[in-house]
Amino acid sequence: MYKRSVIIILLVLIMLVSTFVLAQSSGEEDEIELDFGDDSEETTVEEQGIPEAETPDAFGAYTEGDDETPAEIDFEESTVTEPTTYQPEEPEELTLTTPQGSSTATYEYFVADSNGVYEAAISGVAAGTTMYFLSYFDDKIFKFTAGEDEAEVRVIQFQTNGSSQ
Amino acid sequence: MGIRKAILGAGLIGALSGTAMADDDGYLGISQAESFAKVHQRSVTVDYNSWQREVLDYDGGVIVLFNSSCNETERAVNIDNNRNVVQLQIMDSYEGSMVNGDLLKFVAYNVCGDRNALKLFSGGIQVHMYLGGELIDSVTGGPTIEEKIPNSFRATSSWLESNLLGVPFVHSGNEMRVVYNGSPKATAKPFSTAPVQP
Repeated sequence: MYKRSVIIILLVLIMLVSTFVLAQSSGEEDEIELDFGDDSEETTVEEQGIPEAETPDAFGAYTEGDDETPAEIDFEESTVTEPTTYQPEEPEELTLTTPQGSSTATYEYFVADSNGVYEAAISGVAAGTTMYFLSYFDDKIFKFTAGEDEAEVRVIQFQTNGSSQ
Repeated sequence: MGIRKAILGAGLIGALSGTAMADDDGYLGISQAESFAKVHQRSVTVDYNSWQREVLDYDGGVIVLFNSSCNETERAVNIDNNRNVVQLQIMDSYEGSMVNGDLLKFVAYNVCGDRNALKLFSGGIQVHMYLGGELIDSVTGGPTIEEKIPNSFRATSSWLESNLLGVPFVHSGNEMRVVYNGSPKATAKPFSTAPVQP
């Protein structure tokens, strides 16, 4: 009689443990891998043009590596308070001089307000040329490197406080 | 100048034809500069200062694309461009959708040169899904080649529908929701765990 009770208790325990284990394993299987065939890959912070923490402020000298320094562009019109589009009658050519030489680009227009420039359209930049745009907004410096597949006119948008073009 | 006219023209066509653009969207083959401009024209463009107001304080669903206007490698430009195109197709299909009584909001964040962005995301092109100010899920990466954009669109569409619109993703006859957990790979969980039910 005693043995039978022990066996029954053991059987009940085994059933309870089995139920618990099965519940656990079915929980693990709740998440199923899917394959949409999209072959997605990640990009990195560096690839996205987010500067290292030690990058100097937008108004100081800026260098990256040994072969690039920023060209100085003076946007005196940025004292305006309302966003204003500046578009010359004819696209104007800028000559950007660096210790390593000079390169040219043509700006079609730029948009600025009291925070500085937040959009510019440029063209005629030689492939591989790196340009730096200084903006007063949020103490940022913006880097643009022309790739070989650059569009005829590149529109560059700088972050503003919530507005979009 | 031609590209700028093309952007303006395409924007006008999009405004006139609405969801028809999803079927014949005309996005394939456009440059990253164009896709970037289109995404930001059609989204609420945010930065770190407007994040709270536009994303966290919004009661409805928000889809946030973290892209960049200054990718530094050809690989990143391609992936960014392909993800932008997927985002444009998603906007074509789901603009005007309601989530918990509020319009589904599309937001774009240009992370170029912005270290503050890293307080909000972990880097790399990403899409975040918010509901009621809470991060529901996030996707990292994008298609490496243009030919995979339709697949990525289907995946993103299923992700959005099964989490925010109460439409289950049916897998092997079971109702599921698509979850990425911040990775490029999709997984499926029971639809009963979706934050928005029909």
